[in-house]
Amino acid sequence: MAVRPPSKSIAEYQAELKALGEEMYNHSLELVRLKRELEIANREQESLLHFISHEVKGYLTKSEAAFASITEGDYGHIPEKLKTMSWAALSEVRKGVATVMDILEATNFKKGTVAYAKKKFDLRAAIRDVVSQLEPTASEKGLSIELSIGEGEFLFEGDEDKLKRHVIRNLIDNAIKYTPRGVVKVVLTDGSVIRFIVEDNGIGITPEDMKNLFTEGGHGKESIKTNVHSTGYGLYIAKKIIEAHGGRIWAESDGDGKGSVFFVEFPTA
Amino acid sequence: MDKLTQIASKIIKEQELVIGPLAWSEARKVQGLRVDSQKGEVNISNGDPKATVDRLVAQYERLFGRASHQVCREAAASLVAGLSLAEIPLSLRA
Repeated sequence: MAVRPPSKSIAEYQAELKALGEEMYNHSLELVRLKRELEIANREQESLLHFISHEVKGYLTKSEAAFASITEGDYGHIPEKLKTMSWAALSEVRKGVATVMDILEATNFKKGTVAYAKKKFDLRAAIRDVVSQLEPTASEKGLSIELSIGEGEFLFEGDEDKLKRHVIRNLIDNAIKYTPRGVVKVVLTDGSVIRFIVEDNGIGITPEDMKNLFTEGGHGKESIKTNVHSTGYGLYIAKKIIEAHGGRIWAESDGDGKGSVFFVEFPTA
Repeated sequence: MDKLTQIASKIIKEQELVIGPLAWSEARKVQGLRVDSQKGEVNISNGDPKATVDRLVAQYERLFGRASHQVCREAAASLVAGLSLAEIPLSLRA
C-alpha cells in the first residue's frame, strides 16, 4: 500500500499546534476569570444575605418581645380573644426567628465563622429534653415518640447547644413534620461508635430528593409540599455541625411514602 | 527573597491557575531558574535575574501566545510597581 505524503509541512503542523495551545490557554484563562468573578459575586451575596437576615432578625426579635409581653400579662388583663391571637402571633414570630437564625447560621458556616463551645454534657439528658419539648407538637398530630436511649448519664464532648438545636431537635422535628400519623422512634446506641437514630413512617425520601438532602438549600420536591416553610438549610447545618464533631450523618428510605431513617454517628473518645 | 525572585514565583503560580502543573514543568526548562513544584519554591541562580524573568515570560508566550504574556504582566503588576524602570525586566515594562 502506498503511503501518502503529508499534506502539510512540519512548520504548518507546528503552527497549528501552537494555535491550538493558545486556544486552549485562552479557554482556560476565561474559566479562571469567570471563577474569580463568581467567587466575588458569591462573597457579596453571602454578605448581603447575612446583613438582611441580621436586620430582619432584629425586627422579629422586637416583635417577639412585644407579643410575649402582651401574652404574659405585662400590660394587665387582656381579653381572651386577644390572648389567643397574641399566642398565635408569638408562635409565628418565633418560627420566623428560627428561620432567619437558620439562614444566618448557614451563611456563617459558608464564611467559616462558626465557633464551637465544646464541653462534656449528658447526651441522654439532651435527647430527653428535646423530646419533652417536642412531645406536645407530636401529640397534636396524633403521633407518638418512642424513646430507646438507655438509662443513666451518657457523657459526650461537644457543643451541647448546637447539637441539641441543629441536630437532635432538627431530626426529631423533621420526623414529626413529615409523618402524618404513626410513630417516631428515637434511638441512642453506643459501642465502637455512638449512634443517634431517628426513624419515622412518614412521607419518605425519593432517590432524587436523597441526592440533595444535606446540601445548602436542598429542598426535596416532595418534602416542600408537606413543609412549605422549610428553608432547606436545616440538614445542611446539621451535617456541618456533626462533621465538626468528627461524625457523619446519612439517611435511608425505601422511597416515597415509605418512611425514613436518619443516622448520626460519632466516634467514641 | 528578592523582588525578581518574588516576581518569577508569582508568575509561575498565576500560570499554574490557568494551565496547572505544566506551569512548573515549563518553568523548570528556563535557564537560570530553579523550581521545586512540591514545595512551591522558586530560586534564581547567579546571572542576570532580569533576563531570567524575561526568559520565563517568553517560555510561556512561546507555547500559549500573547494572552499568557498578559497574565505574566498582571501577576507581576503589584511587585513591579515598587521598582525603578531600569530594574524592571523588559518583558514586564508597560
